[in-house]
Amino acid sequence: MLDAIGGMAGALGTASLHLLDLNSLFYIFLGTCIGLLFGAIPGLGGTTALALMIPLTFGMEEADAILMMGGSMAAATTGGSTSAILLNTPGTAPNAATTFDGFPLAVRGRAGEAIGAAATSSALGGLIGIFTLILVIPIVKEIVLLFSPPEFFLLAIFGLCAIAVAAGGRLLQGLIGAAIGFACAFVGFDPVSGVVRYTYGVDALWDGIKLVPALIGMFAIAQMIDLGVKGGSIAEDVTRVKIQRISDGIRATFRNFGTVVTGSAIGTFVGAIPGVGGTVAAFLSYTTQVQRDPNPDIPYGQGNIRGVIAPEAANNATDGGALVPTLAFGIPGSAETAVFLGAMVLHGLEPGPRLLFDHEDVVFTLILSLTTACVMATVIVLLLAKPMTYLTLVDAPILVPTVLIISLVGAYVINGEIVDVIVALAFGVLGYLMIRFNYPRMTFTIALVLGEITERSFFQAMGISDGDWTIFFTRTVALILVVMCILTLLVPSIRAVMERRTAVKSGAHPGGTT
Amino acid sequence: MNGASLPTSARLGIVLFCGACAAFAGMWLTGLHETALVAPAVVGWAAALAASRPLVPEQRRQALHFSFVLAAFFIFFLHETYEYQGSVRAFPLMVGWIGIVLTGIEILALTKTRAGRILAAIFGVQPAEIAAGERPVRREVACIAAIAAAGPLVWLFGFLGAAPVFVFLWMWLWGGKPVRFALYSGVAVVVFIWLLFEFALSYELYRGLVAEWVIELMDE
Repeated sequence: MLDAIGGMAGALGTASLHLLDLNSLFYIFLGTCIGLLFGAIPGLGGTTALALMIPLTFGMEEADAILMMGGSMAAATTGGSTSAILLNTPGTAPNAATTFDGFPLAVRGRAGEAIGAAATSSALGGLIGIFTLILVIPIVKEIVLLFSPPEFFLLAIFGLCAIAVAAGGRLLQGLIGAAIGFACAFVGFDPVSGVVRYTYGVDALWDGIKLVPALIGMFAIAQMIDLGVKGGSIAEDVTRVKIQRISDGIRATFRNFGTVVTGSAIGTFVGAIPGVGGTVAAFLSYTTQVQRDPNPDIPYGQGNIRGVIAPEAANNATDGGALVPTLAFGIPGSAETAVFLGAMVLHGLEPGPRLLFDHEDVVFTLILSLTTACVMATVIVLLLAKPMTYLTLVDAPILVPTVLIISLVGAYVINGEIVDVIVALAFGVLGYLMIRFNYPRMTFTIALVLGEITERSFFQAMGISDGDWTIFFTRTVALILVVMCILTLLVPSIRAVMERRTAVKSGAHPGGTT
Repeated sequence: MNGASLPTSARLGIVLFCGACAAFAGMWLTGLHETALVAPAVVGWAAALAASRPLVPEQRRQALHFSFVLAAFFIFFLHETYEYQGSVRAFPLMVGWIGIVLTGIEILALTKTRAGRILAAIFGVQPAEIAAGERPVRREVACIAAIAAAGPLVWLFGFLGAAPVFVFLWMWLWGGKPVRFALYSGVAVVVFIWLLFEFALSYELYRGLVAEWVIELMDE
């Protein structure tokens, strides 16, 4: 054990020395800027940034390449939060949950505060995720192996149970939104039999409705239709816009440090499970926060700062978590780490258990680059927050066509398919109708994200157990998840009953002074 | 208002809607669904819409219409789902039927009846209540149509052709901006898109059908 710690310390020292070099800092800065830019432009995202960076790193030393790519990976979701807050357009899919409270804050003229909170919680979440990565490297194998299809299914069900809470008093409309989301998630290949469903002869839909064009439509285009109909600007009352409140957001993050820690823990944990990713983590973190805070000062969905902090801490913490299976087993935890894994192989590094023994310095170089980029990205976003906030004051006739065209280009460039433009527009109209008729778009999005995982892992679990349903109750982790699902559904009712009892009691014994 | 004082049209609406649901359930149980689903579903849907309209307050009518659109979507989704077999349709069937039941409950919850109030309280329904003239439907339809027009425009002329035209027309016609400002803005947007996506990021943007035809003609 002491040898292992000594080895880790040595590797950490080597990596730190490498980081002190001006060249290394430049590569991290470059990666961070590219990550921020790609994160902020809807449709591009961190995966695209990494994929485009691979050819740029061919001629570089492996450590420099890792520094640059690590910087980009850490910064993309931080960049995505700014467009989520200012334009209700998640820059990357994991930023979708940030729009629920971030955009209402911008509408109230508190965009600076929201950006400050998002950037600070992103940095803290990212750092917590990375330190967790360092701590769990020795025991990672046991943790990841605890998850198999029954647990994946129940994890998805847990996310769906959160819908009941996330609907915020609109349970029925939330559930209808979720049903529509599921219906959309079934488009394309059936994950079990391979049969193609609901594609109506459109080959591009065989892989299903792509998440990013759908999210661009549901949030960016829907919002632009709404703005086009209403006119004015994003900030409803221009005179109330406070550009000076960035520091309020930073302070709010430290005041709600518990939310940061919970979000980061969820993000790291979910990130470590291959194939689940930052989007699920951010939604889980958001809904957990809504549950933990039954009597918020400002209702969630209407501009509660904790609704920004929770998902932003989680989606940045997934970076550290997702690297656990990537580095330890060579199993990518997310699309981003899958591209990163490819880049590592190109540079002659074979991810897997041997990497931790033979190239410990590389692992720590990556960890340090992520750490530095987390802080660097936050500083850059905070410095640029003020000018960015002015976006909320731009006149609708200027903003609507500009954002619409850039969003459509963003929807197209991910896969280079014109059908994604049509998908984005169609979801834009659906999203607008949902805004118009008071249906929560959050539940739709959760179902769209979890639909495929739910169906696939259910049939895989049934296949493993030869159709025996008890597989969901006889495994420890599965049982814990079942209990969590039940609690999630029951907690609001129990809380309501307890509150009623308290009210009755206080009515029976009204203080004694009157 | 209590259940006993419901007007005849209210009872008729509820009966028709429940009848349509029962017909669905019956067809599902007896296996007649695959071909027999559409006609009674459409008749039941239209009858329920007509019968439930008088029960719903004026400011909730638009929400009612949207609920019926959603019901139609779930009926269509179910109809399509029955085309598949076995595990392929297991999950979608469940979602489709749940969707139908939920929209049915929502429609009932929108009515100003005792049953509606009870359902709204149990299921937490907060319908959009839109007063007449609050949001002119004509303006909404025009806005959606204008934004949707970006699709065919891009399809025909590609991003670099469609972007300046769309931005110019929107700013000038919809936003009432001066012609010169709209023109410069259109050019600025297309230059930004080209610089960022094609020049800096080396993406090849979609050129559009017209450009493809022109290139084909030139090749010939």
